[in-house]
Amino acid sequence: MTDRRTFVKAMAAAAIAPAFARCELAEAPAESWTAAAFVKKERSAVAILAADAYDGRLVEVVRRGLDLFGVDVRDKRIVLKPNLVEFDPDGAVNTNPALIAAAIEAFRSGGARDVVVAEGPGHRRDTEYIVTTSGLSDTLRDVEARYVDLNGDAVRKVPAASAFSSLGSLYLPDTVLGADLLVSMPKLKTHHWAGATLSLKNLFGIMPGSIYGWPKNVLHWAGIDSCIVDINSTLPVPRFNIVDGIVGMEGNGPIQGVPRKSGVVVFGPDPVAVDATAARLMGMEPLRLRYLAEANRFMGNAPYDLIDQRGESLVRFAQDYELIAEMEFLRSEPFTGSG
Amino acid sequence: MNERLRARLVALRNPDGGWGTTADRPSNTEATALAALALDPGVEDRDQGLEWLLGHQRPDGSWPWTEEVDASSWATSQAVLALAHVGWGTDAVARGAEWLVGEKGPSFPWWYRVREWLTPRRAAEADINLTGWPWAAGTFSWIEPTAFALLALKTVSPGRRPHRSEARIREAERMILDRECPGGGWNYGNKRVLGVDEVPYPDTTALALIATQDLPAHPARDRGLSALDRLVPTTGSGLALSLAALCRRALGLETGGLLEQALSRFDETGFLDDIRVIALTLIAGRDDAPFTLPSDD
Repeated sequence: MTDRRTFVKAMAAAAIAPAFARCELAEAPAESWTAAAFVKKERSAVAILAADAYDGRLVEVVRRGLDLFGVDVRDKRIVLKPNLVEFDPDGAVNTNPALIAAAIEAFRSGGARDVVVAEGPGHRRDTEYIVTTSGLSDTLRDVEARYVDLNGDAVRKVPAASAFSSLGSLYLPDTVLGADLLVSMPKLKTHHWAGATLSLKNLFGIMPGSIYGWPKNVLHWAGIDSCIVDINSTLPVPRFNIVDGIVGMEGNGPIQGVPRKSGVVVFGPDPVAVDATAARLMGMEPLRLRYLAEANRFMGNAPYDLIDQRGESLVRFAQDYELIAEMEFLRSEPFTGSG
Repeated sequence: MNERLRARLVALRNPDGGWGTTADRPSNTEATALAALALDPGVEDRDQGLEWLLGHQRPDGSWPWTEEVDASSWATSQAVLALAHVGWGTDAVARGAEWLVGEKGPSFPWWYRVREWLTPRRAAEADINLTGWPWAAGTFSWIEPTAFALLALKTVSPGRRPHRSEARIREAERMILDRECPGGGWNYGNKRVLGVDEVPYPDTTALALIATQDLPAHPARDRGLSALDRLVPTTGSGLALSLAALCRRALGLETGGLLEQALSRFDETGFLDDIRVIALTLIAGRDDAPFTLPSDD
């Protein structure tokens, strides 16, 4: 649970909550989720695989990442959800198209019936611009894959499975609800409101802007941390997560930060464990991320000693990403692999 | 020259008479309103689109995004704009305008203002006393929904506007001017976040200028036009080109080849079959100029 020091720092962060967001709840009430509705595994597994560059070798990296978890994709409809936010020729804002292409190839070669790339860009409403300038359009043409703009997808209203936010119900896109496996493919990035944007936060992008606005402001208003938890707890679709940490972003993420090479791709079925590992790779204490602390209570495992590490050593790749002053409270002690 | 666009727009119409965001998507208020504005009077497709709008107004005067969404949508502005421009549904327009005037973002409590004042690095710098229109009821005001609400209310003839319209219009105009990015142009609604200057975008810059086209000449307009000149060539999308053309037309300026560039872009990307962009490009070329307010208004 949150200790006093962490809580005070979290409140300091809340004090600079965006003007376009209502203040978050200091502590979500215990009844925000129903214990019987969630079965949390005792342990989770996460794999860190080294990847030095965005090149053709990534297909093998992704295949290995899937194999480590025995992900069976035969005859399944796979929806890849990258993070596609903004274009900056000098930045590292988006999930790199080369990793997306590698995932498409890996899932197809594993026998997937269909692989679709779907995103509802949360910042720019100009989808044509962002899809073409990011390079995703050319990549998808090369691999003959479809892109679905979730901002304008058909929706279904689904009751929220937890009540951290005041949303009560969520309008979720048909493309996502029809998936046999949803693969969250975030960038390894800092985030100036949430602290870090990873597998869980990446799913803000499935929420249609046509209903939730740009930059998904209705969710900001309802509480970023709270909505992250509610969206992830509600989504009734099997999940897997692949984090693009080959080149991440530090500082004033998710858009104006600076590229930082980490040289890894992180894999795992438990988004809480994956995000906790990714946070450690950036030098953050995962349980100081408020949404991760809440998700850890009922959705997955964030503590290091509850995660079976596969692939590369976390210690080898953990770095101290630059954090903006308001997020310095997230910084962990130097990671030694002991806690 | 717009026949290819027009043919594509008509081909993408749904059997229920409306248009979705793209092919095989449920009809929505925004796409249907813009498509109706893009087609000629008397064309059956246009009339069916207008009928779709009239058939989907909610009891409170607003429009939903689609049939599947049981909530009022920011796209009500576009329905009011379309119906008011073509002269259909006088009562529907009046009720829609009334809903718009009543739809407002939140009031920030005194403690929030104090907290913002005390915070060393303000989250977002804006005059939160000024309210425009939000994406969803009760949330913060942003440039795009505010711009469309302004354009819709200003398109309703003054004698038919709700009595509180003028105050809302004036405040929203001030809100837009307050949110101008340092150096000119408009972002989605912020000018500085955590002490960092936000950059303008062509689409929101064009919409802000369209919404304030009837204000007396002001420096923000010149800065916005300069930003558009700078941003549109590097963006190059159908949305940027069409809205820039609409903006220049609204301000009485030559479109300077923007529409031709938009058509070339359409040939290249098909605008990803984004019906909103196809419709906006057609609207930008229309003689009846739906986004241009009468000069005597």
